[in-house]
Amino acid sequence: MKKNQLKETLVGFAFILPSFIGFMVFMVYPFFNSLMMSFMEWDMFAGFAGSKFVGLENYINVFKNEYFVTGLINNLKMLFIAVPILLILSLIVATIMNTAIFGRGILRTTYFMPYVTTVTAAAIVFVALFHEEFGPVNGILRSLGIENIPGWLSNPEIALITIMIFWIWRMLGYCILIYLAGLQNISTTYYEAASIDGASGWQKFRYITFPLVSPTTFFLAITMGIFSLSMMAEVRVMTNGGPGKSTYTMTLAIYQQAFQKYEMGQASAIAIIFLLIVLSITLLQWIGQKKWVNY
Amino acid sequence: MSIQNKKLLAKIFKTILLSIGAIVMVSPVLWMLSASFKYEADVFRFPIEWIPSNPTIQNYIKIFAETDYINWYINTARNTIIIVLSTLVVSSMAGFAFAKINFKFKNIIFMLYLTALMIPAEIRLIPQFVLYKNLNLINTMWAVVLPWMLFTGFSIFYMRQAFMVVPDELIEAAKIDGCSIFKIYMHICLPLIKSALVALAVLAFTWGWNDYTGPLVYIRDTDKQVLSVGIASLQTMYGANYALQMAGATLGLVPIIVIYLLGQKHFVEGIASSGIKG
Repeated sequence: MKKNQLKETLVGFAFILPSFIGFMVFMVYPFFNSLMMSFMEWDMFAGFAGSKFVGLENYINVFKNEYFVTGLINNLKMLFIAVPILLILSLIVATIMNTAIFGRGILRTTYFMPYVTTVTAAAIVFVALFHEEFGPVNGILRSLGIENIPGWLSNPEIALITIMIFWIWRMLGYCILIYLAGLQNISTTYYEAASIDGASGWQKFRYITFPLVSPTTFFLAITMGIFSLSMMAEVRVMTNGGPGKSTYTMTLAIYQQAFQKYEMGQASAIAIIFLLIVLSITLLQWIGQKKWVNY
Repeated sequence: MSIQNKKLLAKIFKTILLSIGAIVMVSPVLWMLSASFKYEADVFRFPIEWIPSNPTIQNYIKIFAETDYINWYINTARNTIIIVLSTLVVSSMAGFAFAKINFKFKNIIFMLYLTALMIPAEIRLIPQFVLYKNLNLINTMWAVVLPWMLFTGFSIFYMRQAFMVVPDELIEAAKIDGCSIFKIYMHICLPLIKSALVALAVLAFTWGWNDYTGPLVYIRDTDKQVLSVGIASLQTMYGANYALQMAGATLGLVPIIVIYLLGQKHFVEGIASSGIKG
């Protein structure tokens, strides 16, 4: 028996060996290296020998970095505005899609299509669509007789909203699919019983659908939350943080600090703070789930 | 009105409502497609001309003549194939081990893998850059594909879920017949989770095809670049020429959309099953 167990352990290790190497080299090592670099004034060319230990200086500077602070505020706006809108919209569409309709398959395919598009390609399409002067979106608004047409990406006040619209467009289909899977797990007997008791459509949604689909909502809130907090490609293509620094995100600030200014130590400190923020928001969501998630 | 008529009416109404939403969802892609066949002067003509009255393919000719588009295609396709194949092998092996082999530290290692799911990839950019620099991998495809090849926490988790469904009795029976664990994995279990493998392949395809941050940071030369970064560079190259930009975007989106439409059943299955366990 003992010998068998040893053999199984060896075989098990052999099976996970490639992924374990990947895990150590591309997850664990980068994490600890980032941590180390964040306490140093890191010289890109001299490496460890040419770098010096600066203690907490980089961390103190993180919150003096205007790009990062703006980025943090913007990411929080996305988390508290774009994510809830995304989840509400997708739950509404999925709920309707889950009832008797024509052409469910083709509708589902259509809604999901944006999710497979390459971010950068779709982003330059949206830049053109939302062009202040010529863009078809403003063309439509003008033809509807709306006077104060928004500048979209050229207006620092609403450029972030334009990016959120793009992000929601791309993510909606994914959330709809996940919600559909969740909705299909709800037994129809609940709805039948509610119908007999004379419940309205809204009451069914409020007292059956919403609580029973809450684990799915929770899963989406976590994953979409992490996505929204680490958004970069969308912003880099659509505005590159502008106008001014109005649409910076945390990851764009890290990218800029590291690969345009080559201040690796400072950038690592930002990255570590970024990680702590993402983890603590995720943790808060885990703690908060007890209040509203039913298993 | 009879109940049946009322039901039919509701069904029609809901279908129309969702169809309007669906039209909004595809309209950006349709607009891109139509703009890519227009002369620059016609791109922003309003009301929108969905079918160009004066079509041209000069945008496409220009894109291929002036950019490294062919190279971007080749590089992206090569990276994507490598990422898909290695993800399937590495993740299915690990997933099988976590689901069906009893080895020491299994649970600890799996928990560690799971926590990796919560760590955004951006945090790894800087140390990986330093690592690649030391290994002379900057500006090579390996810098882009290696992390994907060896470790994606999600795929391992997904494969483990798939293997969990395979009954233990089947494996025990094969063991008694003298099958090695590798043979059990290869010839008994893998064929049983074929649909999950296809779904994962399709997902990995989109990751590989759409990968942006890695190539942006690690690849310097335009001819070594991939589509996602290449397309973004058209923006600076053709600043005010939107017809050309749309042709570039179309060339990038058409393959992935075609593949999606062909394999949409697997996409939908793959995505839906990835979210069931919250």
